[in-house]
Amino acid sequence: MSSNYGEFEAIIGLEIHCQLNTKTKLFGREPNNFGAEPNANIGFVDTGQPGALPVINEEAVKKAVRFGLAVGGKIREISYFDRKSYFYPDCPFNYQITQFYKPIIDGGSITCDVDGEQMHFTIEHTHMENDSGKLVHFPDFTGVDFNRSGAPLIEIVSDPCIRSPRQASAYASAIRSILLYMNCSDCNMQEGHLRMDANISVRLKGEKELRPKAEIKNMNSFHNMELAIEAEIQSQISFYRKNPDKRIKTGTYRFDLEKQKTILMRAKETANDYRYFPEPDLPPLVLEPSFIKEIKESLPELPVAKKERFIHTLGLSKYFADLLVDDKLLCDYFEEGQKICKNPKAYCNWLVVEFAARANEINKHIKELQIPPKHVAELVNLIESGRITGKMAKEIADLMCKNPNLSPEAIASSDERFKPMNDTSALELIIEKIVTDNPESIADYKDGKDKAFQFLVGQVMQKTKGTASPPLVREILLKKIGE
Amino acid sequence: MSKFNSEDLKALEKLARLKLDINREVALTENIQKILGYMELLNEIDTHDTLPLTHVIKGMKAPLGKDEVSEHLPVEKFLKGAPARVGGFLKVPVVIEDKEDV
Amino acid sequence: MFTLSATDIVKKFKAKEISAVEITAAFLDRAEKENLGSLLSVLRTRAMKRAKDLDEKFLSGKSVGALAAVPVIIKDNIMIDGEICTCGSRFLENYTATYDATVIKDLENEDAIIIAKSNMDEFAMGSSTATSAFKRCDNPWNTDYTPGGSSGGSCAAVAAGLAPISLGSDTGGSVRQPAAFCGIYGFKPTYGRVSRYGLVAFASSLDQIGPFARNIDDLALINEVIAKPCQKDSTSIQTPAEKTSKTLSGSIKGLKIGSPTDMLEGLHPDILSAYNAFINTCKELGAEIVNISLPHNKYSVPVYYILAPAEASTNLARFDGIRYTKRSSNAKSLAEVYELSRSEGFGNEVVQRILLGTYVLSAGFQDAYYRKAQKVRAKICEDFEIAFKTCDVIAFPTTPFPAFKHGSITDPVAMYKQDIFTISANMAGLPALSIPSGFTKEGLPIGIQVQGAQMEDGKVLNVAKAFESKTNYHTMRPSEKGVSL
Repeated sequence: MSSNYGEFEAIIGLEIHCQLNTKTKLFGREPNNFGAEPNANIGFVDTGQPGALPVINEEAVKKAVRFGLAVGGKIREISYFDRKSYFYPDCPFNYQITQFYKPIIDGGSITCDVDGEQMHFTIEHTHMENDSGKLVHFPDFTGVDFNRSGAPLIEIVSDPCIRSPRQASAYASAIRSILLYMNCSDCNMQEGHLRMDANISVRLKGEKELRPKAEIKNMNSFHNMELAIEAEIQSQISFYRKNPDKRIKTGTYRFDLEKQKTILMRAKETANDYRYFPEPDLPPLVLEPSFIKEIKESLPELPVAKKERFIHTLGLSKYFADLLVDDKLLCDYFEEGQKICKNPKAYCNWLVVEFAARANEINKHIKELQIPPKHVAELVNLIESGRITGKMAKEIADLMCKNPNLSPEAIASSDERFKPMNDTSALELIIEKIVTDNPESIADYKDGKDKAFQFLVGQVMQKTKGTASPPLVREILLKKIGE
Repeated sequence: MSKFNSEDLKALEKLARLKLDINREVALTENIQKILGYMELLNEIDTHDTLPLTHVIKGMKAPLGKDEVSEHLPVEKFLKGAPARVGGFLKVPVVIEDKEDV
Repeated sequence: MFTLSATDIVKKFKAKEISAVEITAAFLDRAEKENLGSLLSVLRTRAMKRAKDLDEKFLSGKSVGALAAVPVIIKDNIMIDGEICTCGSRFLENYTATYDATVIKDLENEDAIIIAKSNMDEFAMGSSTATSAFKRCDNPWNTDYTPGGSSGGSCAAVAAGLAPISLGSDTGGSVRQPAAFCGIYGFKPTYGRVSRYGLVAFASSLDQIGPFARNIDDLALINEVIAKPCQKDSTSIQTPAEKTSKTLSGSIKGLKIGSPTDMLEGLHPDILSAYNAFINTCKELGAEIVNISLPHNKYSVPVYYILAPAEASTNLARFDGIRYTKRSSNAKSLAEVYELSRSEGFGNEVVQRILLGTYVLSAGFQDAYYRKAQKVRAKICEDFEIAFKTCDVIAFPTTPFPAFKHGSITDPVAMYKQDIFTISANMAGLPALSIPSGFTKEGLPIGIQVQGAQMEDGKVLNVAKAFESKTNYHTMRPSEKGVSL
């Protein structure tokens, strides 16, 4: 998808709703998990029982603050909640408790890679609010399920600084990564943990004023979001090319995946009057500087910092660093094992290439193999120490996949095939013969040609059918050459 | 500000999800006119440098609740008095309108 | 028995002179026969069970609570798990509460026996209990007159001896005004002092649950039981409250009582006399009278009738025909479920206030009305801060007029102006008590109100304790013509 719109440019703002992974709801201490039977996990506050009152969830506040710190936003020490009035069956009070006037986080920014280019995006603000319940549509009625009602949300509102669907996707992806690594949310897209609304307008390049915008609501996949935004941009550009003096009507749209176009849901003139006013049941949310400081000091490592560390400290390639960090489960797995592994690069390779491939073959994620990370690390350590060869390690890896609770050490020591040829005297004889049989290579090596040495090592490995320990071979070979 | 009239009342009915018969509407329009007239009294006071007050106890802060489950409303209790239900669902007429069109 | 105070009942129970079952059965029988219209439901099964359990507990040697065996009546906008809670409305005629309000837990932890839910203005909106969807409530002193409202039922019941103590709720005077009309004590604690968890909200920043009683010791006792920090209410004051049943000295020597003389115009002449007598009695008791001014008090009524309906319009939005209210049988679409259910379920006063509240919050009007009212509220609070620099408590009449005849006030503004003296305490979150202080020539009770600074609830109650030592208005009972035995 190219972001070349000719004489036009696209102005895009994203509002991302993220469900926080707390144990209880934002304003009530009922369980915050759904997917259960309808209305199995409800309480008094989240079903709007008369007389029930909101009490703010401390953990939700901490997660919001963590996110704010991670994006470099300003944490408001005093923030306020407001009532937003509208009637809908999934809304137990027929008002939402949100932060309209003074949200908890101001500003912030994201730097991320967009198709190879580093780009910088700014966040207008982030606020806290409660989620609504769910409507389930049946042929002749609609069912209301309040399990999700009251779940804690943070809404992250970007500045209108995004200029293409790819940028939107990269921005949203980077936000998601931060939310994951800051342990704010499980960010499971299929479960709707992250929902995106986009505000889109276009204008002629160089034009100062903003033209009316269209709003696309409730997108829950990055791919669909790109398609939707692109469709809307094209639609607006097409309109303006035909009608240069007119302006589109502002409105709310949803994206129809089949038709691949945005469909108008409602024009903005008939928008609701939300009558925002301060929530009288909640005094100001006051955050002591010590509260914020404690969270700042225990902030988990940011994904960007993690990638940098993988590249510069552990020596991983950018490709592998990206691969690991973009999959938190894999990344956590990597870091767990990497603690005891001597060669991070090799370990990464074994994980991401060898074991991941084996998992892929049976349609699983590497974590589902149930192999403890330290076992993979041990395998790499065994190769490093010369105890086993690379070839042996591959076979051991296969066996580890079949028997996840067996350590590589256990496998290696119980199987004849994996005993490396460490019998030095026998090895010395073989090497002596190869040295004698290859005088030209010796001469080449002494001349400075390293390739010759590799050739000789290869010869030894062939003769030993790969069972000799490479470090040992090199050691003895050097000794023999030297003699 | 022009006098509160029946158009204004109808607009409010929509916002407040009410559908009143004409007699009620007439009586209410009259009453609200009177009450709003009485409110004019507030224009006597200069409040341009006064901050609006929401919370009357100075220094009151929102307490933060520990994130531990301590409340649960069993579904049967919840639905016991419900006007309509199907299984564990609360039942409402088919919703075809969008959230903000209802 | 029906003239026994709560403290006397506890004494007699503990002295084994009478059992909880006996007390409860007697009060239940009387409640079921009442014809004042003060009660909406009598909780016979629940009360008898608790009485039986209490007798067993006591006989087994376990300690019992501060309100042991005391019958209590609760306004029908406070949740009792498993019991119907109507808020005086047809909309909630069949609604069963799903949990206990904190105050109910507090009372039952002290072994009080809740015997009935009382009549009230619909959703606490009114000053006469006349907007109740169910029945009219009469003033036990003269059944042609209203008991006041919105907690008219709880108040009339105590005045008529149906229980020694009861709970009401006060948003703009709904506990104090009926108390004045019915000649008993009615107290509104400092905002946040008593938990609102389980009180159906009318105006969240103004509501407080408040007790009724016939003597100050009973009032101080029930106040102590319910004035506690609550973890489920974010507007609850988290510091422990005074133990008012133990800290009232009964002396007001040296106490500075502020008298806002500029507010005393246009009063009913008997009320003015009662006020002057009250002031004199306080002087005799050693108090010092200080002239003060509350210049913004005259704006309190318009401010209240903007702020309270605004908050109420959103607090009552949850009553929508969807989850727990009645649903209109004529509703076919979702829109009709809302519109028809709400229009059928709510009475006229409630509809009026919802519409007014919606108006003052709506786009284009919020600044001129809602925000303006919030600013004037700030000014009303400032008046009190200034006044309390020169005095300890403030005294003025609870109402400008005594109880009025049923149906005699039809103009909405005239009805709202009834609250001119009570609203300011809700505006500023102050503790305020109506003290029985005399009678009109027609024999209708008069109440004088004492207000204190925030958190000074004990100081306010103490004025009554002192006044009680010199007067006997609080001991007078309405003749039995209003209540059949």
